This record gives sequence, C-alpha cells and structure tokens, in this order.
Amino acid sequence: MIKVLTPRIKSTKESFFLLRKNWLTNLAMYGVLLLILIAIIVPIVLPADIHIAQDANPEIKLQAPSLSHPFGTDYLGRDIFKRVLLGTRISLTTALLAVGLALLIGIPLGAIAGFYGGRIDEIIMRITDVFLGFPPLLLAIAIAAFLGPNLRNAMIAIAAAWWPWYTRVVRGQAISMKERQFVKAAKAIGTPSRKIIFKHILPNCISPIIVQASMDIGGVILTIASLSFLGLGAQSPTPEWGLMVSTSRNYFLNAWWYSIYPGLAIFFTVLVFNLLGDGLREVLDPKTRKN
Amino acid sequence: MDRPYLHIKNLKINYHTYQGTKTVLNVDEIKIKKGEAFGIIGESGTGKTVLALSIMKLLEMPPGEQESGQILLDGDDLLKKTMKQMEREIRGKKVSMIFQDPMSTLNPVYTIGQQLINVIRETKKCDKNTAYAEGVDMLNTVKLPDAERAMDKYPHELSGGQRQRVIIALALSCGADLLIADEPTRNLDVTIQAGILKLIKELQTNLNVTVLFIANNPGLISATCNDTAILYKGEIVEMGTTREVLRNPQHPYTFTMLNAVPKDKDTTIDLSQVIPPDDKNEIEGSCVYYNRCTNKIVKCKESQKLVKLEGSHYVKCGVCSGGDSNE
Repeated sequence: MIKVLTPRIKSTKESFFLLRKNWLTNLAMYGVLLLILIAIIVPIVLPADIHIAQDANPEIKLQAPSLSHPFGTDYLGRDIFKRVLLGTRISLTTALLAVGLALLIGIPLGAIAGFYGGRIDEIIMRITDVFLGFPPLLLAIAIAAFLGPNLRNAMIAIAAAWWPWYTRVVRGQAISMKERQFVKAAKAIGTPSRKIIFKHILPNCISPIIVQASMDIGGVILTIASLSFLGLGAQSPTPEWGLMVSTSRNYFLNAWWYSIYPGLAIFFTVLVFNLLGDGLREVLDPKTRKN
Repeated sequence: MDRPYLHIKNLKINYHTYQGTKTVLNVDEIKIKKGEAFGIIGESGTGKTVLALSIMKLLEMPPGEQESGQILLDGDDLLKKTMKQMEREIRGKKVSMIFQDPMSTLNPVYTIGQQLINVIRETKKCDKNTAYAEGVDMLNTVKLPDAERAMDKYPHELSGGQRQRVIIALALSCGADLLIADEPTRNLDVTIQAGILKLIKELQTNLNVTVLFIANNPGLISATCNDTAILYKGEIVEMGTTREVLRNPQHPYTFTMLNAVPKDKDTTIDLSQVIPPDDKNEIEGSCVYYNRCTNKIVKCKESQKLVKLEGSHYVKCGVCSGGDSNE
C-alpha cells in the first residue's frame, strides 16, 4: 500500500487548524474575539462616566428593555447595555492581570521546585499545600478583606489564591523534563542551571500551562464578580458586572433586567473561556489529539 | 614520556542501595594521550556510562559515591572541582559528551539552528550571523546533507542518524578537546553506524580531538580506537592497544566476547558462557569473572591485579599472569 505523504503544516498552524475543526471550540474562539473587540472598542466609542451625575437620569430609572435602552435602565437611570459593554474591559483586564500575576509567581516556583528537587522542592510544595488547603474563593475573600476593598486588591487576592495550581502543574512537568536526555546533554556542555530551567524546561511545559490558564480565566472572572458582589472588589460607580448584580438585588422583584443582563454577560464570558480551554486541551494534549 | 591528556587513577565508585553498598566501578588506571581514541568495551551494566558520567561529574551523587581515586584532565583533578567550576571550566569547554540515545538528546521545542547558534554564541561570544554561518559549517563538517535547510528543522523532522550528526556537531561546536562518545551508534542502522564511526575517526585526526569511545561491540572499537580496555563488572580485565587486545585476547572474558560475534551460519555459541550468572552466589573477594570462568584455578578465589604482559598489554587474570592450571 502506498501512503501518500501530505505536506507538513507547521505545528502551530496545525494546532490552530485542529482547534477550528471542533465547531464548539470554533464558536468559543469567535466569542473570545468578540469580547476582546468589545473590550477594546467600546470604551473608546462610549467613554466611561467619570461622575455618576453625567450618566444618571433619574427620570428614566428602572425602565424595562426598550429600543432606546435594549437592556433597560438601572436605579439611577443609567443604560445597562452600555454599562455591561463597558464592564467587559474591566472584567477581561482584571482576569488577565490576575492570571498573569498568578503565572508569574507560580511558574518560576514550580520550575525551581521540580528542577532542584530535595529540600527546595519540599519547602515550596508545602507552602503551596498551605494555600491549597483553603477554598480559593474563601482565601481570596480573606485576602481582599485584609487588603481593603478595591479592584486592584481583589486582583492581588485572586492571584495569591491561584498561583499554587500553576506551581503544581509546572513542577510535575519539570520533574519529567529534567530526566530527559536533552537536559543532561545541556548540562554536559556546561549550560548553567538557570539557563536550563528557562531555555529547556519551561518551553517544554508551556502547553499544559496554556490550557490551565485559559480555563482559569473563566473561573477568575467569576471570582472577581463574586468578590465585587460581596463588596470586596470593584466599588461603585465602576461598571463591573458583579457589582451591578450586587446592586440589583434590591430591585430584583420589579426590575428583572437589572440583574439578568450583567449575569448573562458573566455567564457568556465564563462559558466561552471554558470552552476554549477545553478545546485547547484537546488539541495540545497528545492523548486526546485527533488528527 | 609526555603526560596523558586524561588520566584516571584508582577510581572507585559505590552505589548505596537498600541491599547494601555495591561497587559499580573500580578502575585501576586509564591513560589517554592527546589526540588519541580510546575504546571501552563491556556488556550492559558493567559501568561504562557510570565512567563517562563521572568524568563529567554528572553522576547522581546519592546513590552514587566516589570512594577513592583521581580523574586528571591535563593534570587537573576533576573530582576536586566544585559544580560551579565544572560548569564554567570543564563541561563544554574541555570535555563534551555524545549521549546514547540520539532520539531524545535534542530539545524538541527548538530548531536545530537555534540550538546550534545558542551553543556557538555561548562559547565564541559572537553575533547571530557569524554563529549561523558557523553552525552551517559545523553541519557540513559532520556531513549532514542540505545543512542550510536542516538549520530550520525541528529535531522530530530528522532521522536518528541525522540527529546523531547534529548532536556530534553540537558537542564539537563548543570546542571541547575531549569527546566522550557513549555508545554513539546505538539504535542506528549499520550504514549510518559506519558513517558516524568514520566521522568520529576523521574528527579525531583532523581536529586533534581526544576521544573516549564507549561501545558494547568490539567491531566498532576496532574501527576507531588506538587503545582499548575491556570492562567487566566495573573493573578493567584487559587493556592494551586495540590490535593486541582483539587479535591476541588473553582474558577468558575477552575470548568469550569475541567468540560470541556470529561468524557464519554453522557456528554455534555456547550461551551458558555469554549470559551473565547470578550475582548472589559470588564468592567474596574472588576474581570478578570467577563465576563465569571456565578455566579457573585455586588462585582465582583471590582478587586479581592488572598485570603487564608485553608492551602495553595488561590483563587481570590469575591464569594468564602465570598461575598453574591445577584445578
């Protein structure tokens, strides 16, 4: 039997191709793209209200969705549609920064723990165990409450609660990588350990990190919303989704649109990032990769 | 007489295990002159790789432990150096190593070019373009066809033989004087083996690189090396010029090993001698080969010393060194 050799696609291109073959992942990618576009464009086109008074219009407060206000208005007469769109940038940037910060702490620690092993490994992993001992939301609440309620502190709190997961993922990878021949070979030609970690071990751990991070963005957005809902994150008048849901509680019985639309925004964002993460895992994990 | 480039003296390495301490390497003396190739032959588990790794100081130190000995490289004792010194002065600078398995010695996430350029820039401190040119040169030196295109390829796109050439190029481009080749032709098919052997030989003569060649096949050694040592259970049982050792073997182990090479379809090999016996019923302090030896004598129950026969031919055997066969 003659096997026809197909031209080789560069591996990133190939991964992208496989990613798009799954319609759900494809949809999720469009969703993420849409969110990013909204996050970039909307605040430019519709500048955020600096003072409540600018946007507030008590005459039209708590109006049901209509053509002029597709998502209705809130208790100050602000357009919920506009505020939901403006919230996209806040949620996405805080989530990205929080995950980025967690990665920044977690990855190097994991690589060091896995590569050096022994006592260093033991110390770092016991510290992660302490952090993992708390439920992440509870830990984030505690830290946010301790640091004081604002969006920046909520971000720090989330990063502090999230980094141990990355440490564990990277450590596991680093342990398997350091036994590989090419790491030994790198040592044999005199590469210093620092360079081995950053040039040889980390690039080989990158795919599980990408998967983990993209799945986590959804969770982090949800946690930021939760913190804001509890009054520990964004403060009024920031158009943050969790905060909007929180303030809408009092009006829920006569103004359903007030809480539903910000809630849907959270739901949609989390869903889209989780689907993307699932798709990425399927493609990047050789066990589930289907050619 | 000039000083040997690599001189290993009384090197003894133990492994601590739950069953107690086991000596894995007990080498009396190995001398390699500058620009020569030295071969080490032995079956699996005799400590060939342990020897190579201890020269690089890459042996995992627990469970391993160095009991005694010196490894002198150009007069410097490597075993006295700290890890930092090894990193800065020895590894890649004076000694480099080709590992057994060409399939996993290259980092899968970088192209061949990136890996070569990195190594060259590290050693020569030059800019990217010079390093690139040098890399292509190096790939041409190791006779990798289509070197320019190979620079852009990832390791998985190359075959085993091609990868092995890249690894040799990498090992050489750091400008080391001593190349330890730990079974460099393992997993390769015969034509490529021949090519790699020829390449190592050429490099040794052209670039005046000293080579420590480790193999489990006497045929490979005879093609490349000036001197040869036969390693058995961590000890040198026979040593001399390759010609002396392979043409005129003295030690019964060398004999068995050379006989085990299939000659034609009618020869039968007595496998009872080829397969290593159990370690358990070993007699404490006897000759390492005692259990497998067919012509052992009373004297063999004591440990043996490496005895000089003629010229540079040494052997570690009770019978060969003039005992009576009266058992």
